[in-house]
Amino acid sequence: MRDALSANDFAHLAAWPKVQAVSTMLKAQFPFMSAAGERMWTSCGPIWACRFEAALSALNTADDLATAVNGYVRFALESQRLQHAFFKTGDYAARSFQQAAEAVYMNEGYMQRQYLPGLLLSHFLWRHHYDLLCFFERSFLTQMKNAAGGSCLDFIDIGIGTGLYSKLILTDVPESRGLGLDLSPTAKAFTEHQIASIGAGDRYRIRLTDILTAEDVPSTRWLISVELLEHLDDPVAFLRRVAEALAPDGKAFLVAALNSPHPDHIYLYRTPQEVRSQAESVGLNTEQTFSAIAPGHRKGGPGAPEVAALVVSRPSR
Amino acid sequence: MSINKLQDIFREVFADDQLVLTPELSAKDVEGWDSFNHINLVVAIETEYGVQFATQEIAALNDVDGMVKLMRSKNIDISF
Repeated sequence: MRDALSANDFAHLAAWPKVQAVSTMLKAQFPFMSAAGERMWTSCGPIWACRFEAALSALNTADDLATAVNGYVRFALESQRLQHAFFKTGDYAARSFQQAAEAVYMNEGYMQRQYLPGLLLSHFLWRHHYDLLCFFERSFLTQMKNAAGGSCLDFIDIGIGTGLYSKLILTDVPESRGLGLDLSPTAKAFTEHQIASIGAGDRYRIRLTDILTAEDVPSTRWLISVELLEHLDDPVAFLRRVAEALAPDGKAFLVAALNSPHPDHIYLYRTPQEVRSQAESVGLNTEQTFSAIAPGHRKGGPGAPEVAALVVSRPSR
Repeated sequence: MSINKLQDIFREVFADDQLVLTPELSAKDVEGWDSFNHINLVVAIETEYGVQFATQEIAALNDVDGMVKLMRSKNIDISF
């Protein structure tokens, strides 16, 4: 039997104290959950730890980190339990957007203590979420950086969630200004805290709104929407709004979760091609695609959870 | 009721016919005891014993002793 855990077990993470603290807590309190972080370090090394540490910038106390770890564990276990049931039924539980909103987005306690911290940590503890982040950086963020060139660059983030992706843009593109659109007051508060932690609050504003009915959505050349499509009754209607919001030659980074049951996942995407077909059906051009299966699952296995991303553009007239 | 039925569940989930349950046995000691198999274990126990565990209850499970105590709290008669 091992001796009691100490910080020395994660001495290699000393340069990233928050990542070290998260890793230590996971190993000590939830040992069956700790392998994911250890695998990420082994395969992705210091750059993973750097990115993870930066993502934790708004969590400044031991209590903040403990709450995040507890939230992640519950988020992950709930996901696994729902996945277990999904493998048997092959379908999501029938639910409307309104029902999902009441159960999740408007449930402050659930959002604050489980959903948002869980989702945030999953971007660095679930390999397919981390690979998605890396694809975003090289495929879309790089284009934004190149386009900015010292000039102001506006972007819209629809379905801000944890604010992670907006935060990445604001960090890497100092000329950027963002507008975040979301339904959830808790997501708004969480994201505001994230953005404030990097001192970019004056470059970002959030509007609480339903994108399907929102008026006065400004035209933009840069739009992101990460894992929102599967939350909607009618993703094509949303994609139509995306196409309308994009300026000629504008680009969007769109992500959907596939075969991933969650309390707020309504639309079941089974393949990445389904997402692409929907985007192209509203006139968007596909420039790049990406997909990644969750670790421990095989492609072609029974409903393996997966993320699918597209970089799309609106044709110029 | 003895621990044997629970031990059989563990042996099946972790594909190890030689696995022997002790109160101290935990994820650190069993190869493959990750979050995915943690849920497989929990679901197998729920199915076998006809009980339902809350997410917070299963998150807090660290070893077999904790699992047995949780099962007893659900009025399952089980002991080493």
